[in-house]
Amino acid sequence: MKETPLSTCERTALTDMVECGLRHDRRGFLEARDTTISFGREYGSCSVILGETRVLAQVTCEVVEPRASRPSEGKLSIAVHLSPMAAPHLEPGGGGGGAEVDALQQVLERNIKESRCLDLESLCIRAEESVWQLRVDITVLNHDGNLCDASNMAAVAALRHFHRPDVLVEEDGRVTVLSHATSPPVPTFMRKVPVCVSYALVCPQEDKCLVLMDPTHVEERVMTGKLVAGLNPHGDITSLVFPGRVALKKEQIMKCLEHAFRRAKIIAEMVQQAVEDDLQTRATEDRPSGFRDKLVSDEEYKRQRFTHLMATKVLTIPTESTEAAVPMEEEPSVPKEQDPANDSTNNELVDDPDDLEESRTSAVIASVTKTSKNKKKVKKTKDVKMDSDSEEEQQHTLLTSQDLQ
Amino acid sequence: MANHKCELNFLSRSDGSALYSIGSTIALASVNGPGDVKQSNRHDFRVFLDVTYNPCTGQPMIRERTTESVIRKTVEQVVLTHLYPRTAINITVQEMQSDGLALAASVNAVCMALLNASVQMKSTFAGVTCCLTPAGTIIIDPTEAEIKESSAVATFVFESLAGELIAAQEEGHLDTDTFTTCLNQCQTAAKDVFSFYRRMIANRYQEQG
Repeated sequence: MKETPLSTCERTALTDMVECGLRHDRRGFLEARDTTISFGREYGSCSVILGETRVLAQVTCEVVEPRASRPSEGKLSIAVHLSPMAAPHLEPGGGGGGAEVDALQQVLERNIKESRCLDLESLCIRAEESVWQLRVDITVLNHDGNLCDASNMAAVAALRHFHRPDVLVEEDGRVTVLSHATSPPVPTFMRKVPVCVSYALVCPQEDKCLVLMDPTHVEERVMTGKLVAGLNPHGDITSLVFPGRVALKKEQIMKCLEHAFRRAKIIAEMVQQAVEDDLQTRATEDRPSGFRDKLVSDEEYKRQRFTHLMATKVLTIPTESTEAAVPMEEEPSVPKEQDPANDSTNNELVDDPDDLEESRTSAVIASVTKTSKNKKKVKKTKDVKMDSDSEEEQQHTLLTSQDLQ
Repeated sequence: MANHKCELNFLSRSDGSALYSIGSTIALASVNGPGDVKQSNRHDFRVFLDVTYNPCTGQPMIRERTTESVIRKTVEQVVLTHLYPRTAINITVQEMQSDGLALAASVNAVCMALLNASVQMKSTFAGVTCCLTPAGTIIIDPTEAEIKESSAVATFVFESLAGELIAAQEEGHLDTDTFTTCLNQCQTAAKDVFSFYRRMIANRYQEQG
């Protein structure tokens, strides 16, 4: 099936919203979606949910002959599968998402294989004769943007979770693979946790470029360019892909990377923690239940997120008083001159208790009009009351958007 | 009978999807369509059904192709294919976790996903797996370990109107008498599955009002 084209109206709405400092799902510019990592019944089976993006990774192993050039190293292969399940326009059998699959596979190979975070020599059974080959199959179940981050996380978590069966090498060189029941399986050894962090670059005007972290599918469709950084919390950059038609300055890339390193630390900890927790509960359970009762449907996720937004007052149901609130919001009364960082930046509009949905929309329209009148003029139309949580987020936003002006 | 569980509308980007679990076996089905179809696959008077089955590990092989054909033949009998001429319905099944009942779980997941996608059908359908132990007892919804020790495994798919058989797959040796016994036992078990479908759908729509 063909992909439905994005209408001009949707496109302009999205870019205008971004220009005003809003994202369509009410996240901050540098705010990632909720991430859930769960593990299946078998070792090395892992599902990562990033908002509504779902990825399933599965590690399998077999004994093979090593490469002649590297006789004492095991093999690692990574395969990405995109089926019509992920998105209707993808052809069954990987025909439709060809370019996307290739790009994804390349990023993953650089991050996981070429970064040498997995000790391949530990996969050797007998040099020049037999080694373990690990194969990571990554299936995208639902494509809602940012496949790189999700599949990288899934692959790494699955590899860290994976236990290969023990082997018995007999005197004549024959290798017997022992079943999990007869001897305890051997964990894979991974030195570092590679992380992938993606940023969408949206350029509403020639000279202006805004950075959105963890883009959703629609955001990926309106973005001008993308910055995909593969790194680990130890300070190594393993890959840097920068497709699209955007010219970023060196400092801007450095700022993004600085943020990416902070994010990498969080993700790495999350992955390690999830793996450890699951392995611990697995040790106590007789028969692990795996994914059963652990996977939440997108519908349920949306409902939960809506309740959460309602609870935190980011989203409110418009009432009678909405009309009264609008004129106040339109007033660009917020003094910003004393804070140069705020000048002509696109602030993330956070947590305003009085903020009503309709007034928010009118505020957007108001600032769009303003932008067209005077581009240098301050676009922040709202008194932002920050809570301690969003304060940090806010600072990140300021940091980057300031640099990207 | 093992515990059945189902979640509808599991994937946001598919027209219809369902996560179905029987015991520890979990299958995820997604349905897209009716939508446009390649010229070469187009039928003038009926829909083109495309079924893809992905195992949880490795590439799809001959076994998966068999599963695909069982699902396709089942769906073809039930969906009102003449209502969607010159279109395609894509069905993709992903095995999430396997514990012997992959075929039954996938068939049920596909049925739920088709309902979720509002594809018009004559009836719903349900798959039930049973196995015959060497001692001669029949186990409904066996686990993988039980299947390994059994002498034969059979999966039957029934439709909900008259409870009639619409597809069957069998491995191992079964004589006519045991086959009929298996069939009858599975037919009874299928009634429970249909009542589960009904309860679940009722819950879902009562909830939403």
